[in-house]
Amino acid sequence: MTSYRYAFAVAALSAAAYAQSDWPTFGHDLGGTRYSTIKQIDTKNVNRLVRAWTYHMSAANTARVAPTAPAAGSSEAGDAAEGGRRRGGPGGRGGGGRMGNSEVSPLVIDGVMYLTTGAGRVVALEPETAKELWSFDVKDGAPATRGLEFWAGDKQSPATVFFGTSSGKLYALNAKTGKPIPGFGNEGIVDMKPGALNGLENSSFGLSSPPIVYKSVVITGAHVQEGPSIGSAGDTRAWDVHTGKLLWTFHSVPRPGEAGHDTWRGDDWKNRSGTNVWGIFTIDAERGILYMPFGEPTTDYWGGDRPGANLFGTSLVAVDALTGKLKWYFQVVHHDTWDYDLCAPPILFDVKQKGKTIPAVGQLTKSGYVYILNRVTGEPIYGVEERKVPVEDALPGDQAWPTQPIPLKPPALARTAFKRDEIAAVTPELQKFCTELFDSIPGGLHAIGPFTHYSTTPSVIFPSSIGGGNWNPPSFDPNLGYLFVNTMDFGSLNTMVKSADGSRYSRSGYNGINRFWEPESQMPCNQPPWGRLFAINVNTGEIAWQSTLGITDSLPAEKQNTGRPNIGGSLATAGGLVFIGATDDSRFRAFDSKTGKELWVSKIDAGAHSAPITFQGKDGKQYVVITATGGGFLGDRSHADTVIAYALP
Amino acid sequence: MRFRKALVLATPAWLFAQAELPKAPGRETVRKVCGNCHEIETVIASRRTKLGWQQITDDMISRGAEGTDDEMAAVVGYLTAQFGKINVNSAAPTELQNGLQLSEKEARAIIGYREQNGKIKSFEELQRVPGIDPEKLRQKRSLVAFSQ
Repeated sequence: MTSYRYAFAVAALSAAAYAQSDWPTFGHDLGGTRYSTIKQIDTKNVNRLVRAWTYHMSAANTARVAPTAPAAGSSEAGDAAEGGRRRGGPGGRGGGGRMGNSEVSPLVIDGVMYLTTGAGRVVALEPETAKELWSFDVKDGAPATRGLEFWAGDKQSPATVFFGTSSGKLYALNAKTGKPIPGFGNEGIVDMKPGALNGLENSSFGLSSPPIVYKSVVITGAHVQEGPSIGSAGDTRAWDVHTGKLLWTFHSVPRPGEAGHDTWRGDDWKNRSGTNVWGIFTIDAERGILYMPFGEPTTDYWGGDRPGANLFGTSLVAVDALTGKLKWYFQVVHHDTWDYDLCAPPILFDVKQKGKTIPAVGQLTKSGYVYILNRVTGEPIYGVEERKVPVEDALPGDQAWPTQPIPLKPPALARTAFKRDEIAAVTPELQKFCTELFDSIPGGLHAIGPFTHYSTTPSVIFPSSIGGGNWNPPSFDPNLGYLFVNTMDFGSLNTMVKSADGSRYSRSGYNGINRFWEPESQMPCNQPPWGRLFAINVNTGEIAWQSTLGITDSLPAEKQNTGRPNIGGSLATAGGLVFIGATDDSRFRAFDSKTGKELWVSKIDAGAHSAPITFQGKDGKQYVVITATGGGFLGDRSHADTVIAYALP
Repeated sequence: MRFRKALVLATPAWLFAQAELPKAPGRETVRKVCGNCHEIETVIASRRTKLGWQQITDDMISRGAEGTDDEMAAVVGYLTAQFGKINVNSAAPTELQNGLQLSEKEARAIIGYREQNGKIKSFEELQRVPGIDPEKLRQKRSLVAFSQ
């Protein structure tokens, strides 16, 4: 299975047609292409998709198979939003207690589906019916919200499911039985906190995303604090798949003698938190290179106690997957004070130009740009310019970095600036509210590009601190050479306030609002679009097409096509389709991957702030699966506990 | 510009954010549970209804916030009391009176209106409720919610 998976990853990257029915790792393959060669569902029949099953995360040990749903492209779950509302009462998590949100991408391997749930359990399901095969209760913390990793096992160890928890544990479960593997760590659990806490016992450390396995190492990131400055390390670590023994540590804040250490002043690096991979890793399986999207150092909006470029903050870093040895790095934001964490999976694909093939990696960012780099050398393929950015507006005591790297292609995929005459005129009420809000802001307009600084007077900044792009897993169609990415055109409205002791600044809102929108209708104050899906032709760096993503239900029909704020990712298939949820309008959609035309939409139980997967069942049917629980950083008011599967009738 | 003055006077969140969290039951729990991963100012950057605070707290638990159920209830209680919003479609008369500083008569007018006409959908509609002083309400706009 290991060799099979390796072969597949290589095959997918070289765009070879390779029959494949599973979804073996978070990004489908280690390169994170989220591309499946299954093509039973295609552009012609996608409008006939019906709901095959609905799995409720908080209902223990029961499979709920929905009756075959009605009409094509229907809104069969139209009434489910209220009915699906489910909130755990007192009694703690696990076994049907408190139901948190879930951003999970399930895995499907050899006829079994695996997922972490928002209800404290990790489960194995029969993928054609959602019947539970086993269930494991995590007693200590919540299992990682974005999912888990599968390893096929070998002579020494059985097939294993690895996942982390919010409490800093790394679990290894037997994939067949759901029981902890005794030989791994302490009875199936490695406590990842020692070695990460920097001696600060109360510091927070956990995992929110899946680990990634390469050969005999399981690699983990870190979910750590955004503030205060001192806390747990955001290092990346690798563990032996058999024993859980620590194999290597990559210091995300370089120590004396390590590359990048000179980007810190004096002892500022010591016990610095943040600078972590809370998002998704990818691996070039052929070359054994691990790609790590690092977030920014603490604190997230104030860098006065860390002058310097602050490597490896907000950097894409490539290391040897077996040793952790640095190969190259590319810092996307120098001295980040915008919370522009890298978090989207660095997706691997080949760029074809004049008969030459360049191995590439694409990094979506919160700042709205996509960086396309040679994945062996780290060199930009379409050029990147260090451009002057404002420094005069930086907070007192913070030494702003004078330039930032801007890619020449593709262009910014999200609004990066704003003028007063771009206030949304969608409805007279919205226009009035936004105009009055804007004119009431004591600091007035302060939106001079994506690197405008947050200020002590309330300011509007595009993109917002949640993007632009976010952790949104992109997808790639190797036949078209198109990279599919979703972003939002959304602004922050913030005020930096001095701490009580006067030592630092932190971010707050303005008048009870911290997004540039009307908070009740949740309509942004900038003219639409508010959310978009793009196809980038990676062979030219140009935008091949773009489409609005999402609708505003409260508007009249002819005005609804605004696009919506979105967090989550996509799936591309050989059927010529791009599937995506992500929006806060509780819908799941399919687009024509060639043209960007929206071909199918289904109303679902809640917003799907996750990335869909597909597989072919034992019954020969292709299923498309999406997790929909609402909530999250968009303030999505929908709430459910569902994983939903679609298939042709 | 009149609006500007009114808005700032009504709820100068960007001013009170510079101060400490208001002293009230649950304050220390909020500091302990929420302050471990991000700064408190971030928490209170937005106002939310009770359900909104409940939802974001659940979300934070799945992202690593640690505390007992009692502590989480204390967090929701404190944030709702200090940084809450009033859902005019579900609030009891006393909530409307206390939360939006309305008279008993005005609160009853809102409840009578929603019983007769169904849910109030927008701030403009709320301002048109007979017996309500639109200007007085305008100063409380940031405290008004229509759902959750």
